[in-house]
Amino acid sequence: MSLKHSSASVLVVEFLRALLAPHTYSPHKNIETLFGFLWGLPIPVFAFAIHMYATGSPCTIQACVEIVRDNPLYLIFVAHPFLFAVIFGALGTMRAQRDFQIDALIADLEQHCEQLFSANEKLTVVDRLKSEFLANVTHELKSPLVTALGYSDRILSEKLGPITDRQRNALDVSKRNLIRLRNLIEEILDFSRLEAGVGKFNFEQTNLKDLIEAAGSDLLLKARDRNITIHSDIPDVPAWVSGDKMKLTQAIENLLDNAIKFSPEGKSIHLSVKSENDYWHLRIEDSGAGIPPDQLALLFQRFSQADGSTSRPYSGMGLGLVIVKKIVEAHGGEVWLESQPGAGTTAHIRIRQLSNNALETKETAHVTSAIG
Amino acid sequence: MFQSIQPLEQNTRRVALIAEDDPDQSDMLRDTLQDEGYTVDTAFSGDVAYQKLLNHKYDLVILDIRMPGLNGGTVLKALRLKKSKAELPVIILSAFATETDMRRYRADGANAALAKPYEINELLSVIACLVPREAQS
Repeated sequence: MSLKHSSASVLVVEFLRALLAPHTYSPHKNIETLFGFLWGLPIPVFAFAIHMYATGSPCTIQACVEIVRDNPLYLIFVAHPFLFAVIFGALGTMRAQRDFQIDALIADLEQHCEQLFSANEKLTVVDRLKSEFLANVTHELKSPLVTALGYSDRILSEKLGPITDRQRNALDVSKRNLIRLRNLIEEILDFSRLEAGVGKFNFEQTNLKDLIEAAGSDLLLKARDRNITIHSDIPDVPAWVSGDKMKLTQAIENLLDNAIKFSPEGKSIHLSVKSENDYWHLRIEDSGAGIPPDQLALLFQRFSQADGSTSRPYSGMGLGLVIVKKIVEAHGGEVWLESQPGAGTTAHIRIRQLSNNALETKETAHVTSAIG
Repeated sequence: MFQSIQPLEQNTRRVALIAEDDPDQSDMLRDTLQDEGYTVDTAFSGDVAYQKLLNHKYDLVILDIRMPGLNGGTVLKALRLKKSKAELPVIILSAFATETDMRRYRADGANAALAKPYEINELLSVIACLVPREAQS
């Protein structure tokens, strides 16, 4: 069923078909037929009136009949109201059929809407179940680790009696692997949380500097442990962007964490923010081993680390950068890596600045609300 | 073996309540706290924890979030409504540990919130901050 633009031939066929339809000839159903008749009525009336006026004959039905009998051509005038009734009636039938089609289409559409609506409702439920499932899995996966890690710690701190060096070494390995397992679980959960929550970004006016500070403070201890210094070169003015505070912090944290993880002990990391055109450009430079160019592109894909061999020196499944990419791209930004093997790696994030206009209106809004 | 309730009244040692439904975790926490010089009481559901909190005096409460019956968050909120319990140090241990969750626990009145799996030493240092040794009577 479609209401496309009909070509002339289709219209003619439709019109001829309408001529045959009984609807065309039932003026009580089809007002157009009546209208056509009335439309055509003045023609014979005027024709007869003129004839009568010209010949001076009386104005009676008898006279009319005589006129037709004398001039058969006058039948054409008499036929006019009926001709008009049929033509208008046929057009009316066509229109009624179209209306009928449109009604059917609308009903169809409504039905589809309803289906979509109920499907959407079901999806919402599924989405909620998925989140709940995720929460449960989080809990269940982490619980056994609590006890295992806790008792390892207690034995290692000799609270449960003295242990030999060999026992300590064995337990150290055990604990290290438990921590690795914990990190893996966290990574998967972060990732699936992000997958589940795509579109659930809470955009607000955000100062990029605050986020960097928040990300940095969480990692300061880790950096200090490895004797790594972080130099930062950040402008004095606030770096406004429109973004989700928590997610952006996580992205910056992941990149910083990588920089710390892959830097040799005692080296430094250089962090800078610059304004370029309409963008804020964040750079995180480390002086680690660097990444070979052929592996650089792979890093933003799921489950890949530069060294794909089985003996990976670093823990993690390589989901960190995938998460970063997802977050930054959801903000309409870009993230990429530059690396020179042996010289270190630089991670770049570019995020559009919040325009001055948007900012000013927000600030005035703040001021007015403060006054009010 | 999970019940180690010693007579609370005639004890001058600090008393801690561990509300945790996982028996292994509860055991481990009990061992740890006993080594720290605490007398430990345990509860395996939120309801029991809340009852015990109302009826006994504790120096420290360790609350799990997901428990049968009342969950830890509810227990915490109910507890903070009582004037006599407003100052009681409460540590939340939870596997639900997004930043939003953590912020909510603090807003609900927790003195500290640790994400599971936590480091025992981290927990101990938090406890040391919340319950100073001088408080020991």
